[in-house]
Amino acid sequence: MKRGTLNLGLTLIGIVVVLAAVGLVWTPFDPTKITGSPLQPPGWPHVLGTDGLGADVLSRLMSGAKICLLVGIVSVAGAAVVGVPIGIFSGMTRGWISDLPARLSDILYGFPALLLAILLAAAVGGSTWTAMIAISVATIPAFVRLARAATYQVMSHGYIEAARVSGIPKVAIAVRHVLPNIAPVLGVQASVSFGIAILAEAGLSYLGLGSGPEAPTWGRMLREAQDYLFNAPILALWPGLAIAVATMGFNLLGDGLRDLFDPRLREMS
Amino acid sequence: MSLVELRSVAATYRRAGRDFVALREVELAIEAGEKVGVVGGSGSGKTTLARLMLGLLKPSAGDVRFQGRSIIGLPERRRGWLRASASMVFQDPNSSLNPRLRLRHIIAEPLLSPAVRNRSDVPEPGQSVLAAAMAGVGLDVDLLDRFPHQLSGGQRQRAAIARSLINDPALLVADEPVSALDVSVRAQVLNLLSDEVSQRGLALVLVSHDLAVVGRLCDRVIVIEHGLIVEQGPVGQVLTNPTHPYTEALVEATLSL
Repeated sequence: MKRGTLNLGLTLIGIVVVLAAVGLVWTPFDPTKITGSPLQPPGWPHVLGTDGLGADVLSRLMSGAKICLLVGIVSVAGAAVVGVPIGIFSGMTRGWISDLPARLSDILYGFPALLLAILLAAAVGGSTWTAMIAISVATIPAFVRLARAATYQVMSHGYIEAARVSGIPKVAIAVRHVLPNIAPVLGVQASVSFGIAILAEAGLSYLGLGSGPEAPTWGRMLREAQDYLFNAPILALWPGLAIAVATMGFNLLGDGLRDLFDPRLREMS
Repeated sequence: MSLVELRSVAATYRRAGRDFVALREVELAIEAGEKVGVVGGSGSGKTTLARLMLGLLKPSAGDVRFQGRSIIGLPERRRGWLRASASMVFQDPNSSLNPRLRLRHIIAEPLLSPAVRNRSDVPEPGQSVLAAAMAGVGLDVDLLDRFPHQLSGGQRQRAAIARSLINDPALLVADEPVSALDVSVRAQVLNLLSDEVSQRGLALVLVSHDLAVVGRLCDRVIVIEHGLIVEQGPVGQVLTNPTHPYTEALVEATLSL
């Protein structure tokens, strides 16, 4: 069952990756240009039809996949690069210096990505980068808290004391012993955060706080489809389906990885 | 000058908002090459004593000295002489070997310490050094590329002993080194420890709840009860003619087994 979850997740992600990879080098039409009459139903040559202005929906969907993955990778990697070292440091120390990052993370948790994006958009204007920074900052606390808790657990093992007795410096202990042993749970968190980031970017684009009109993101496509919900409801289906597939894919991957790395679940199978 | 000295040492833990005294007024000196057993029941403070000697715990009072220099209040980067000359074998080899490292990286780790690399008499962690370390504890050199979970319990503890000896320490602290092992391999690991300690002439602090194990490996025994040293002396004398009721009870328990 757990292998099934993992495989289904990988398959769904694979669809999005293939869509984005092909979209990098080729799209049926220019996704930013009007290439047909408006609101054409699916057919030939516009396989998924055209939008309200006459742009090819499949080409825009492929271009959106690229942005969706870029936002996911940059925001999750950014959050991990900042959050994991802070979490490990916090987990390896004791006293107020250990508690401080955890308390700051709790405060940051109170600011949802949406609120941060609105603040950032007000300050510097809405763009893909605004969305990525907002999502990344909002994701940092999850990595800090998880890395801290996992580090606490690893620190109780004898190999950490053995390294301390040998005089291995703290940074080397973190890199050599702590990081490899908490990597599996961080991988699960990254996968789940990826799904959340994709959903957040779609939401921000939907609200006009993400990418501009020149970048056809799935969230923006969904917002544009809203105007034609009664005459061409299928227009909302494609970006909605793409968001669902990508989000579900990364969530299932996270679940599958968690099951795979959890020794208790592994022994039960 | 003694190798290790504990002067009026006390240790207190804070647990569930209450102070728990693990050791009180401990006076102890261990000479170079001496083999000392520390015995006592669970929670008597023997492991705390071992951890204090290596600077893994900070005493709440008193002073701990290694080779004549105090280790208390020093930041880790100034404890190089202690780290380069003291090692430890832990109770549970499953926990003391990093499951994500191959044996060659586990065993070589003490040689990577900045403190050890400053010593001119310690070799680079090359294949020949690792092969000699493996041979020294009776492990096949082919096992160097295995992960800990691919070894038996006895092999893991031998690997842990190889790691603790690779930097040629002056002091080896062994905390219940055989209690987590099968009875069938305990004797082998004890013989190995005994041989290595004797050949190298290093000081051994053997923490155990088993008087028979201490009697076999050590010259002197220290008996701890509720954080206090209640009796100490040559192994033969303490085991045959105990003077404290707690020691008598321990000896009785050992004999009845």
